[in-house]
Amino acid sequence: MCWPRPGGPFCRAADIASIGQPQVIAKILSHLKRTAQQQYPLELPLGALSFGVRVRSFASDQERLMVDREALFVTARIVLALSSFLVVGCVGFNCAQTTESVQAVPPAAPSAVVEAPAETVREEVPAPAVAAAPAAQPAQAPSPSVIEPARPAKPAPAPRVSAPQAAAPVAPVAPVAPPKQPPKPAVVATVEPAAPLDLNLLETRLRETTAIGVFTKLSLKNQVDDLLNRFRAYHKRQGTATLVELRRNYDMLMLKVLALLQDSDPALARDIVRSRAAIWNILADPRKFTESKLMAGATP
Amino acid sequence: MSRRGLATALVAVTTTVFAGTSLATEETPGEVPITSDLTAVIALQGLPCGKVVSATQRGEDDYVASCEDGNRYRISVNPAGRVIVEKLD
Repeated sequence: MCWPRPGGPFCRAADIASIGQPQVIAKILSHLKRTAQQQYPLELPLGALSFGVRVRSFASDQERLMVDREALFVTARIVLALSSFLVVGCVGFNCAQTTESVQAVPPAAPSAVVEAPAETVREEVPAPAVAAAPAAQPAQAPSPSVIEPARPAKPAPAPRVSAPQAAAPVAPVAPVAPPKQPPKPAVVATVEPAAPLDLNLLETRLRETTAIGVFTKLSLKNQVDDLLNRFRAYHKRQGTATLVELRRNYDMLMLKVLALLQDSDPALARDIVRSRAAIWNILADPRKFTESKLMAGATP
Repeated sequence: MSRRGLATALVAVTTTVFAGTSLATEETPGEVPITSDLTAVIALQGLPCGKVVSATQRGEDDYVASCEDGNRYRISVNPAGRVIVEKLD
């Protein structure tokens, strides 16, 4: 499809490629044979080559001019789109950098500042130290627009960058407190993994294991019963043993058990190691000791 | 069957029988040898021994253990179910 223009008719490249009338084709071909091969041997603009316009030669200066113009338009559009992407990307990157450097500052009301690049941030850093009053904000606000008069038509990213800058000297102490919330990790750290063994399960596992003999099991049971009797006396305030001594006896007994099991039943030894603190908590706490039905008498 | 064949069969049967007997007298896998068991018991009591090199059964749940350091102990279970380790002179 072609339409008239002051410099000659203008046709789109797709329409040139879709000429279907045999008479027109024949006329173009005959004309090309006469003129085009000698005058323009395969001189195409870069845009035409890169965007697939299949025009090899041109019948006249007008056709060449039309193709050149179209390629130029396409190239100009691409360049414009790329440059706009680049500008938007640069502005976004600057915004991210500025917001990171001025973190934890509450968003203030957007001011009328046009744009605030990184240089303006460096220039304004000493300003809050001198004038820490909110009244100084209007005086600082126009300065960036004076610095960059070449780009007045991009107000969109300006509020994001300029707002934290202007609000930085207003309240620097109050917003810093909310991000510092250490109790969360402390709560997580206090959560202990569940112990794989309690006293009853430990007794069952010791009975079932084939890592130690019958005499050893009996001897271990005797020593566990002796220790439990001492704990009972301690919780009833009848014995003379202190909790430190009981802890020493408990550790020694655990070491004996581990020494017996660590080579022949490493899984049980590992479970005992994991449950060691939990079992001690049961033994040392009178309430847990009673709830575990250990206060009544010797284990079966 | 020749005399040589009979001798071979007799040797084979004898070997099989004695091999089975010796396997049966060994402790089943997974069971702790009595010497190791007694060694652990003596160590649990905190008595010097090192390692039990031999053990003699004197009755049900009653053993005399000889240690590698020369000590001898009597290990038994009393009616209350407690393991008793006595040092022998």
